[in-house]
Amino acid sequence: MDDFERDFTIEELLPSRSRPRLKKALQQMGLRHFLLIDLYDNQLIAHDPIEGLMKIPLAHELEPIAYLLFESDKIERAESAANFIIELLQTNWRYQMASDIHLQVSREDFEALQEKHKLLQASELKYKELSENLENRVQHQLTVIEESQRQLYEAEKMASIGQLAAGVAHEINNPIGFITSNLNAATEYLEDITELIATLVKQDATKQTSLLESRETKALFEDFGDLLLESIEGAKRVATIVADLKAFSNVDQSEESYIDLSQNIEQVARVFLTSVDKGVALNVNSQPLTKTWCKPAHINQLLLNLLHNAANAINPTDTITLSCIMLDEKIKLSVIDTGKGMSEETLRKAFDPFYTTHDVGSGTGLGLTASRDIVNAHHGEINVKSRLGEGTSIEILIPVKSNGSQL
Amino acid sequence: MSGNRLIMADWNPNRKILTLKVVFYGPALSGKTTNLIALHDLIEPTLKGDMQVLETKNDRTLFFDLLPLGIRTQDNTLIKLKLYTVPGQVVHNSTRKAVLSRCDGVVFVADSQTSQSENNAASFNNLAENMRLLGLDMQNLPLVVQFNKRDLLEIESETDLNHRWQNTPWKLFYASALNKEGVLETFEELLSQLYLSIEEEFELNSTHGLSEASFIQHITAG
Repeated sequence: MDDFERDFTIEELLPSRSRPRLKKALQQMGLRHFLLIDLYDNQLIAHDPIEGLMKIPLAHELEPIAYLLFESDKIERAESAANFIIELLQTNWRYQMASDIHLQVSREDFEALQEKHKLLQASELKYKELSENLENRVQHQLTVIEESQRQLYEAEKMASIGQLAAGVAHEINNPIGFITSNLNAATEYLEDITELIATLVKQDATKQTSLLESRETKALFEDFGDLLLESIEGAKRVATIVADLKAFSNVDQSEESYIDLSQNIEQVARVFLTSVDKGVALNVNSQPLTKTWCKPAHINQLLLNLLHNAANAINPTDTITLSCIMLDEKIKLSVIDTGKGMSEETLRKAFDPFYTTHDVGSGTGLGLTASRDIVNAHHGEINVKSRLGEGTSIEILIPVKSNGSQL
Repeated sequence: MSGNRLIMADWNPNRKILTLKVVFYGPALSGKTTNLIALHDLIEPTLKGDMQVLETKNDRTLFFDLLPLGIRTQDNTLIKLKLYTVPGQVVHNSTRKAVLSRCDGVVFVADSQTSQSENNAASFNNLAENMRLLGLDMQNLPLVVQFNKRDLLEIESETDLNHRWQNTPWKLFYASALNKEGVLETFEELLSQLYLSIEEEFELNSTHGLSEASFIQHITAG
């Protein structure tokens, strides 16, 4: 890289390509014998040189850079030629300085740009790494969230199973209690009957008849029969509860079945009533439905979820209506309560996982989210309408599936 | 040229030439080129080259202007003094830096107009920054400040300017370069500082028999 401040040589200021034209110009100015030499007597331009030429210095910057030699009788022409050449040298000098400083500045600017570019690349790399790591970290967090969500989901399921179990235990305890006491009473009655038979054997026919038709004996057999009938009823009730419970067992391994879901409606209503306080007014309105392929255990869980939500939202005077009906080739299930309803804000967030209006600890808020997942798995839709103070209506529409496949 | 010197002051013992470089710095249109033109007319050094005005656009310097001056000492040493102007426009900073590089002295030409005080300050800060980048010591390098355009009406008063600059190490001059006033005084002060800054190293007095007074005398009046 040339420095614009360096001392320029005559070679640079008068390049050889411009010399033939200069030589011609000098001839045209009327010079016949002339020489242009540098400080070391090297000939730059020569035209028919002869001995005894005169010499004019050609100044560049402050000092001579070359000499013009000419015939002594052409001094005026030689002087104007010298001025002409000096102007030519200066013009070239200015051009060279300008181009040199331009190159120098361009190079420095370019280097500065490259330096900036390097820094930019480095920071780009940094951000690239950061973004790659970020993706990994987000993925990791996502896994953690999914894992804890699954755990919470399990916990929620266990909680509802626990709630169910508590209700069921109460329902079964009651008949078991009176069946046991009935059987104890029946044992005592059996002793009375044994005694009666022993007495009868020793009596004659008349006495026997009067004994058998006595008020005490009639009352004994009547009671005994009642005890057994009541116990059979109780055992039937237990059997019904157990049968219903079976529908809720093994929810995760639940199989697809081709069924009329209206049967489930009755079942769910019974299980629901066994697991909530007495006095919840539940109306069941079930119409026969077209048979469909579905996972009944999941539908049961879904409806039970919705019923429990409704039970939490009602006052003693309110009612819950569980119904099913065919609507345009779709099965419409609905749970409608006349309870306290939801605000618009609550309604907007109703399906957000973990959103709950209940006290902390009483529910994880997965109820509606899980319900929606079940509906989605059946390619159905779930719509919630609610108004604060007027109640909530949840409608589920499930398309009928006439051939079984994995849901 | 000797090694990695940061200033130009360059002694060529074979050719007996000492080259010095002075740069006229300042904001755009403050009159740097006008200073150089005025000097060209005012001074009669032993050797005076033609002023080289490189490319300009609307009277604004694109690269630089150059006025070469020279004197000869008693022992026939040539002291070359190259006076440069820089392009004042903000966009030409790379060129400005290149011209400023390795200078031996600076004349800062400020514009006296009240509307230009911010531009003056910006340019002076730019000078300081470029000197720092080029490794030039602003506190010790010969530096003179000239407030030009005193002939105009809307200008800052000398009282205000003196007050503002009183705590700086730099001498203030007032000039009207267009009228060739104050230009020579500014330049002579710079020459005086320049002489002092290089006298010892190049033994101007002891070896070359050049006193400060004759240094200034020869440059300004042959």
